[in-house]
Amino acid sequence: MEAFQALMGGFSAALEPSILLYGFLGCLLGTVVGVLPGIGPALTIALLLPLTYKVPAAAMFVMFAGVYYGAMYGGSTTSILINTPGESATVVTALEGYKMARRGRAGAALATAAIGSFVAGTIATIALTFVAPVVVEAALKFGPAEYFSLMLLSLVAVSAVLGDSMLRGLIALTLGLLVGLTGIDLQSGQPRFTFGAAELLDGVEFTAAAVGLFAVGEALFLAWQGRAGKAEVLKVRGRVWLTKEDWKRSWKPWLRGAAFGFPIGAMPAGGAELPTLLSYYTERKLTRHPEEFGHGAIEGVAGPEAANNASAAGVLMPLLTLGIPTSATAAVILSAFESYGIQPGPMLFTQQSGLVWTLIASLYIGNLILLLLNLPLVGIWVRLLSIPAPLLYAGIIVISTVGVYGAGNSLFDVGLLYAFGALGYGMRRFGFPVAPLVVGLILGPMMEQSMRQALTISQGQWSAFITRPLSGTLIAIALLLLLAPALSAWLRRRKTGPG
Amino acid sequence: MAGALIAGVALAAWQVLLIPEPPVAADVGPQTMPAALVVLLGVLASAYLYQALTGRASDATHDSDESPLPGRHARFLNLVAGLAAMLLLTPLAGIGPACVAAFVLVARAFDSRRLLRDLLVGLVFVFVIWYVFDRLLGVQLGPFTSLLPRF
Repeated sequence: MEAFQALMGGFSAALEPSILLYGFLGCLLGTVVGVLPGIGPALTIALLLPLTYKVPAAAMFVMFAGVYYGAMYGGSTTSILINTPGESATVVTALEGYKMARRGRAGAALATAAIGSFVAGTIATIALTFVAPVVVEAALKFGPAEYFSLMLLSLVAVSAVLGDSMLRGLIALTLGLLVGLTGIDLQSGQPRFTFGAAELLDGVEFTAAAVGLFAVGEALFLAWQGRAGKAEVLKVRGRVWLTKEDWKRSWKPWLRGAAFGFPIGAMPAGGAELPTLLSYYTERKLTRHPEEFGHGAIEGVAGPEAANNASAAGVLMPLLTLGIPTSATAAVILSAFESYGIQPGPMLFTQQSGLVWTLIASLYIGNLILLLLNLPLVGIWVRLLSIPAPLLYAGIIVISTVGVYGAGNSLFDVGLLYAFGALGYGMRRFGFPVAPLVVGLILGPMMEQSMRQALTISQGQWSAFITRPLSGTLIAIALLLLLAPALSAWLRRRKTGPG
Repeated sequence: MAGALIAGVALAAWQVLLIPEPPVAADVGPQTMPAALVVLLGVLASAYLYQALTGRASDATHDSDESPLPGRHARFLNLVAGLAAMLLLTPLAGIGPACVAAFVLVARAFDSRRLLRDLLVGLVFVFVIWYVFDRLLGVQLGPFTSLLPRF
């Protein structure tokens, strides 16, 4: 009941015209970047970070939430119409969605994606509203040792479980943690990894690193590859709406998608890849039209799209309640909290309750705005796909550079942006995931601080991390995640025997 | 990539050795976590090097869906030239000309051969971006160009 009252307070703040305008702008921008290949929500929010000096916190976070949700809606349009998913979360949508579009059913595919996103997004936001306060209650009992172990677990989960190579994930993570430690050590005042450059004493400029990895790195890779902008954009014929039969076949996958998306998104490993895949395989198993799968089955669009949006709300849960980002976008939002001097975590709900509930209320409103933006106006967004690739990527590079240069008026930061771009290119080409690096970059200093606090409390006893029950359990789970693949491979080998 | 990683580890190890001793002793000094991470990265990078040497590291060059089309070096160099133009021209001519030059070169990197169109679109786009950031949002970018005193 307390949560309900707080939410109502949030609604009254979020419906104030100025906040509503920022929310609307965020949804609009999110849809645009979701549709455009090559730009995602993490990059967009990173580029908006310099504005945090000018705009009040509540308005800015409402805008970020709009961008985050909007990109999920917009991303499905691209995967359905050109079969080049902008984000890994919408890869599964492309499987059936593109086939539907090829068969002239683009309107139905876009409609089930948008309505499914709305339904699942709203269900997940309701879950966030009522589950988050419970998690906060539990998290308030955490000490620094538990926090350290929790961060360790989520870092291991993000790098080792997701992606196709644990080794490459862990390398990306370790690199991120190392880069995160650059600058003056706040406890001892000693400079670290600064290479004698005064510009690095404050640490690596987060915007430069994130934008470099996402925008410049991607542009370098796509230029090297030479395939950008060569895909055919399918036309949307007829109305973007569902027939009676489509509704009948869509509503259950939407609900099941939401049930997969929210809890998995809220887990330390987070991410949308796993729930969308699970939803796809479940729908394929449960459908009464198995012959349509692989040729454009509406259930294969409805379920994964719903799972995708529900997981977006899920990812916000560890971010708002524990201060732990489990995706690249969440890491960028966390850095925005830091630039406002706000520490996300359980205290956020008590110290900044107005802000949190305004943000949560804005998620409900944002979902509604996005449904209205996406169903009738889809024709406008489709036109964005006809922007020639050379102009699109030239524009992305210019905006990225201007954004980073404007943040600190420093060419050093622009150089750093391009250096991270080169790193991003290498990582993309050789199959290294970027999310662990970005998450490590932001969690590195926080983890070190928790570790030091825990050791101060335990008077230097490292065993405290293992002997405290909760902390020990979290570390055990992290170890299990690391060792599970090797263990199962060993067991399989034993089962098949030497012969 | 494996070679670059190993070089990175060496560089990071050298920087860890340069971290000064803190004036007050602590359980976890400023070197502890960096040193632990450098050791971990060293182990992981060696494992990756081994994978690369035995031909098991993935590279988009050899992937049928991801492999580059012919002309990759020229495209890549055009993009790098665009980034270099930005770094070199900003102090010399201001952010405007630097961005326009970068715009044209990046467009070329994506196989555009319509120089005049790119130049015109770039000029209008960069001016609008500069105006919105510098004049409307108050993000200080300096004058559009230092070559013309009025801008």
